[in-house]
Order: sequence, then structure tokens, then C-alpha cells
Amino acid sequence: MRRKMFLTGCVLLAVLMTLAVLVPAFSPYSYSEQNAGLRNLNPSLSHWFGTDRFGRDLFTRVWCGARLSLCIGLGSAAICGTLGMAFGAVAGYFGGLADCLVMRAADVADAIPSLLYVVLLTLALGANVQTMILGICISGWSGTARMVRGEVMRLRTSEFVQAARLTGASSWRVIWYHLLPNAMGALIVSLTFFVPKAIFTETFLSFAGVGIAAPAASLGALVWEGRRQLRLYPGQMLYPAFVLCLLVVALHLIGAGLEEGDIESIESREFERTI
Amino acid sequence: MSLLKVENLSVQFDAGDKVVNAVDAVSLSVEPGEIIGLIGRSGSGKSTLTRAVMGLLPSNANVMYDRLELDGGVKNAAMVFQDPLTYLNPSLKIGWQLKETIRRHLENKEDKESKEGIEDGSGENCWARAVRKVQPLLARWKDRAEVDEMAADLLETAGIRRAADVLDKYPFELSGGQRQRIVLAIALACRPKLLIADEPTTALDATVQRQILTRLRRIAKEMDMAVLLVSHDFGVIVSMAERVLVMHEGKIVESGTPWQIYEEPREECTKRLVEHARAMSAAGKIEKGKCGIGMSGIVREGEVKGHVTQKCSMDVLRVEHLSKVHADRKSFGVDDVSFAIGAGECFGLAGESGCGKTTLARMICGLATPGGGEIYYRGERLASIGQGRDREQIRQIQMVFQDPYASLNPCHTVGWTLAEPLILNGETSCKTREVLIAKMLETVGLAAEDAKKYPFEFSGGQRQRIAIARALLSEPQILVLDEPVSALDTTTQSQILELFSRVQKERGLSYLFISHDLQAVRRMCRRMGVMYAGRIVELGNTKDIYNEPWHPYTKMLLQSVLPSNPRKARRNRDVLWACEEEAGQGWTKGCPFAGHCGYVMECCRKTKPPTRRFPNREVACFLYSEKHMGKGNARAQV
Repeated sequence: MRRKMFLTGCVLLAVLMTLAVLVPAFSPYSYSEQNAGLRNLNPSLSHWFGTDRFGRDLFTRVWCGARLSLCIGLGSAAICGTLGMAFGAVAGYFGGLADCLVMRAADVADAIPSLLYVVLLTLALGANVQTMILGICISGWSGTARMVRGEVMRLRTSEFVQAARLTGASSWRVIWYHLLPNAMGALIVSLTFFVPKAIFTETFLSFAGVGIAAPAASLGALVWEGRRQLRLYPGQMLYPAFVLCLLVVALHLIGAGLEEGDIESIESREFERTI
Repeated sequence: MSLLKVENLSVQFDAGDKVVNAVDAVSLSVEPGEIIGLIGRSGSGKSTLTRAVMGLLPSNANVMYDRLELDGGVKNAAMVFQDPLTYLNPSLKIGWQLKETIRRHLENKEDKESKEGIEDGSGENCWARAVRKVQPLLARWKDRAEVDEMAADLLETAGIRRAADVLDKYPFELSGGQRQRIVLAIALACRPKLLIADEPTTALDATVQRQILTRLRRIAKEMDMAVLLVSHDFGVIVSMAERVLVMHEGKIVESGTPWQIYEEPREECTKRLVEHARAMSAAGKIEKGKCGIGMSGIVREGEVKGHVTQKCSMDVLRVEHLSKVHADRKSFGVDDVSFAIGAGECFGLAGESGCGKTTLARMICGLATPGGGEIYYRGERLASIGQGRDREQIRQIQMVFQDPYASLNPCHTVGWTLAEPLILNGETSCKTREVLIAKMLETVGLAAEDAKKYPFEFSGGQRQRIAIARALLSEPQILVLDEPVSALDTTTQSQILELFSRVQKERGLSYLFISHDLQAVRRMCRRMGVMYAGRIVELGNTKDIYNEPWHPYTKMLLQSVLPSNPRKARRNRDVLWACEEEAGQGWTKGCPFAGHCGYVMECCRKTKPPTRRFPNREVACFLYSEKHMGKGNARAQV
């Protein structure tokens, strides 16, 4: 079951990623080129998803948007993962003052609504992908850090860590070679769930009007744009929304498959021990 | 009629692509009121068999049988597991868990009665139906006092004295022995005719084990309950059972009275089991020359090979007035402990769990910081790791941990794990490392190819060998062995102990051998200390302590050893067991053992007894103070 879920997710994601890379590259249309004569067309062979109210090809725009969304999702997951791992491991292993500082910083980051500092950041740095990633990462690392901290604290007192310290290993070596590899399973699972969460956060921000500046558009921005003409041309909102759904479902399938695999491997370890 | 009748029971596990036969065509029967022992090495299918009888196997198990009859169904049987902590729900109070079982049992009974009373509910109106639904709730409210009383009764039957207090506690607040008693009480709540006890005392200390087995025996007699006792320990089986079944690789290979099995084992595997049981308990088995020294820390020359450079008269390790307060700051984990280990000596430390043995071991290795006192290695004072113990000092004192499943990092291959001490001690060449690792694996009895495997591919005993190899690769002078064999089954235990002896002979190491298993200490060590509540209460030559224990606690500890000889066991069985409930180790002004001591005096409750040194013995008890012994007492000259 878990293998099926994982594989379905992987295949779906691969297809979506390929399309997101290939369609904008080989499309005869540009995502930003406006054409007053082709406004609000219905889907046809030349424009598969039709065109929007400025006459831009929606098929190209949707896959450009998917590319942006994926960039934001994967980029922020990578950065949050690294930050969370580093802070969580330090807090969990050393405890005391380091733990207190890191965890209070996480609390502060969580306490401020993300909308607020994304608006400020957009004003300061411009509305582009980097700003979005930065905005998501400001509070996004805290969840990962808490999880890694918990794992590290649990493993810190285990016998193999003590044995490693007796071989003369330094704290950093213990963290890098002994603690983090053991926390990696849970970390990867949490990051695969983080990617759709980041994509949704970006969608929400675009929807709220503080997303990436036109003419570039993420999937969220496309949905927001299409919403204006929902009554007349429902396709303009539904196509990007559908791709967004597929993307999130694919990532969730991967995450769920991995999570179950993680639990199963732990269970089988326990089982092997009891029998 | 038999209570339980099993014919040709087989259990197969689907493990991915291959099928594992865990139990293979087993037949057995249990008569009412009979105590049957089921003995076998770990992995012989004992637990799987009992779980199959109770219907507790996971879904990937295939259970096949010609006949499986339990008189009165599974409701008439109850089970006690090895680890009470995983069996009890950690977030519910003991009282709740126990009363729940009692209520279920009562309801089951009532259900049967009421169903017979009201056969047809179609005629009654909605009001009557509502009343009928509320009634059990009211009855539950009314039964409260009765259930409370029953719960207290059950706990008392299981041997817990202050039952009312215990009912209001959570599992983590209780000791292992108390938890096992509670599990026993829960099992008894449904008045079973058959109790299956799967290694009920394996996780417990000798003293507690003895108490619980005595209790179990009494309950079985009083309630006329049959017991199927599963264990790998010959002593446990012999002290309890009237009939013994031997299990090997999924089959029952032999059955008979304990006497027959012990004296005339027929099968090869039974012979091996009995042999190991004998070897573990045989008196005077301590080989000469294995452990080098006597009381004063002076090496007898010629007994330890390969030690030329070192000053013979010096202790390798000396611990002085070492103490550490528990994390809860309520009691001493380790309280003013002093001893010394000579070169090439194996010093034993015995005591029940929670007495501070492991804390002491961790302080000596530098993994914990002492609260007070000093540790000297060859006269050089040691700090803890991270507070100034340098790599060279860390290297000299290595440790082998208790749980071989937890002491190896599951993410790395065995080769990687073994390379770590070499890398950190400056062995840069990859080739040399590989050669050293291969050699070491062969030393500990594994193959060189095993370096490429991951820890999960090994059994408990093999993992412990890997852990020993890792410790030895640092080339230490002292090896701290913290319960190194208590997680292993008997046969593997004696193999590992042999390995320790061999390595010691070859390398002239000093051992600090920590164990709650007195047999193992007796086998390994010439000199030993007995620890209780953080203090060493008695210290001397192992032989002397065994022949003539001085401290009352040591006496109790030695009495609790279960002999594997059935004749001795029968003699031992009915000896009145003075201390029914295990000793609590709280914060006391006086001697911590005072509450359980048969010789307690006024002074014991007021001050802690000082450690008194005799020529061959140290003992911390007022019985041996000058005041009580008088000068020139014969014992002092022993």
C-alpha cells in the first residue's frame, strides 16, 4: 500500500515537473505577451486552456506558474530543512541556554503573522520568488527545528551516542554522524509535507494580493486572477486550480508513503526484537 | 479433562518473500491446577506458542492446528508478560486499569444472567427501554465500593501492602517488581483457570524475582489455577514447575519432571541447557589466574601475562568517596563509594536495579560528572568528558553497555562503527583500519565479512560481540562492563562471559564487572562489592562473601539466587521469605536497609553505618562495629 502511494506520488510529481519545465520552454507563446485580439478565448487546439483577459495563453501561464510554485515550495523546504536541522540539533544536543535561545526565537517567529512581514519584505525587496521564499522561511524553520530537537533529545541519551563519546568523538561529530542520520527519516517526511504547505502559503499570499508581481504569476496568483471572471469564464480559474490540486496531492502521496514506511521500519525493528 | 489441549499447532510468519516456521507441530496439554514450565533458548518459539494459544499473534502469522481447546474459552485464561511497563497504560492510574478489568468481568457475568431473564424486548415501551439502558450506569455507581474493595483485595493477593496508595498512582511511579505484581493482579481479576506467564521475572532483580515467584506459587495453590510458566532460566523453571517442557527450534523436544530433565537430559539441546545452568551455578568455578589479585590490589606475579611495563603494586583505577545526587535531588544515586581495581583484575559489583551501579559506571567512564569525590587512573585524577578528560584518558577506560540493541547506531555498517575509534585515535590509513577491524572481528568470534553488514542483521549476542570489539579497538586498560549479559539468554551469556575471560587473558585488561546476576559475578570475579541504595555495603573476596555473607542485605541477596538443581530448589522452595515487598530506597537519615533488615537496631535508624575495614572485608553495618562485636571477636580475624 505504502509503496503504491509513494510510487503514484512520484510519477505524478515527475510528470508535473517535466511539464513545468518543458511547456514554457517549447511553447510558441510567451507567458507575458499580451494580445488584444485573442481575449478570453475558450480552449482550442492552438490554446489548450484558452486565453485570459489580456489575451495571454493560459496553458503556458499555468505551467510557468507551476514552475514558480514548485521553486518556492522546494526552495523554502530546502532552506527551512537546513535551518531547522541546524538549530534543532544544537538546541536538542546542548540544551540549557542554547536550547532556550533557539526555542524562544522559534516562538517569536511563530507569534508574528506571516502576512505582516511578507508585506514588509515585498515593500523592501520587491515582489519576487526570493522574497516569497524568505517570507515563508522566517517562520517555517520553527516546526522542523522542534521536530529535530525532539528526536535529538530522545537519541542523545541512548547507548550508541554514549559509546560514540567514549571513542573520543566531539560533540559535532556525534551530532553529524550519529544523531542526524537517525533523525533523517522523520525529517524527510516532515519536509515532504512542508513543500505543499509552502505552496499553499504562497497561494494564500498571492490570493491576499501580496504575491509575486505581474506579469509573472504563480498558480495562486492565476487562481486569484481567474476568480474575477469566474461567472463568465470559469475555466480561467479552474485550470490553474486543478494543476495546483494535482501538485499538492502528488506531494502528499509521497509524504504519506514515506511516513508509513518510516513507521513500518520502526515497527519491524521492534517486532524483530520481541520475537 | 484437560484444561488446555493443543495438538499439532504450527505457526508460520510471512516475512516478505520467505516463510518462517516459528512453531512446528507442537502438542501439549495442561491439567487443572498444574504448574508447567516451558524452557528454551530465546528464539525457540516459546513466546509465539503462548501468544498463539491466546490468539494474540499479528496478522502476518499463519496459525494451523488439529486441535486447540481451552476449557471455557480464552476468557478463562490470562497472561502476564515480560515487560510490565509496556503492558500497562502509562497515562492511566493503576486503580483505573485494574477496576476496568474487574468491571468488565462483572458485566460479562451480569450480561449472561440478564439475557436469560429478559428474552424478548419488543413488548416494552420506550420508557422501560430507557430505564434498562441507564440501569448498568446506576449499577456501576452502586458497585463502586464493591469494585474498590475487590481491587484492593486483588492487589493484596498479588503482594502489595499499601494497596489504597498504589491504586492512586501511575505506572511510572512504581518499581519494576510492583508493576509486575499489578499486572498479575489484573490477570487475576478475571479469575482465570489458566495463567500463562511469559518470562514474568526476567526483567527483575534476583530478590524481587524470588518474591514474585513465591507469590505466584502461593496464588496458584490457593486459587487452584494452572500456570504455564515460560522462561529461559533453568532456576526459575525448577523452583516453580512440576512438569517441564523443553522447546527447541519450534518443537517440543523433551518433557518430564524437573528432576528427569536435570539429571538425565536426552536431547542434545537439553543437555546444553542443563550444562550451562550447572556451569553458571557451580561453586568454585572461578578459575585460578583468570582474575589476578586479592584484596590489597597487589598483583601476584606470573598470573597475569603481558604486563611488564606497568608498576605492579599500583591500582589501575581508584575511586574515592564518589557521590552523585539523583536528578530529582531526593536521594543519592551514588553515595560515598570507594574502591580500587588492580591491574588485570576483574572486580565485580552486584546489586539490584536502581542501586546506582550504572551511574557509578558512567561516572568512571566520564559520561557523567560526579557530585563529589575523585577518580584516579594510575594515580592521575580524571575529570569527566567535556570537562577536561583528554582523548588519551578517554581511550584508557572503555565501556560495554547493557542493551546490545541500543548500543549500536542502526544507520551505520558494523565496519563504520568499528572504524570510528580508530579514526579518532589517529589511524589515518584506510587499509590498516580494515585489517585491524577484520582481526578484531575474528578475535570476538565474528567473520571479517561482517563488517559490511548493518546491526539489524545480527542477533543480540553477536551485537554484544560487536560492541566489545568497538571498546577493544580503543585499546583500553580498563573495561567497564555494565550488565553486559543481562539482555542475553543463558547460552549466549556464558559464551560472552568466556569471551571476556579470554580477552582478559590475552590483553591483561582490568574489568569492572557490574551485574545484578550473582552467578555471573561469582563466575567472573575474584573480588566483589555489593551495592545497596548507592553505597557499597560489603566488599571482599567473592569466595568469602559467598561462603559467609556478613551484611544482612548480602545475605538476603544470596538467598534469592534460584538454584538450578531441583533437589536444592525443593529444599529452598518453602523457606519463609522474610521480606515480601521490595525495599524502597528513599532518603533516610539512617541505614537505607533498616526497614527491611531482620537485625535492625536503634542506631540503624539514626545514623548511617560507617564502612568498617577488616583485613579481607569491608562492611557498612552496625552489627560489625566495635561496639557490637567487641574487641578481638573471632570474625574480625577472618
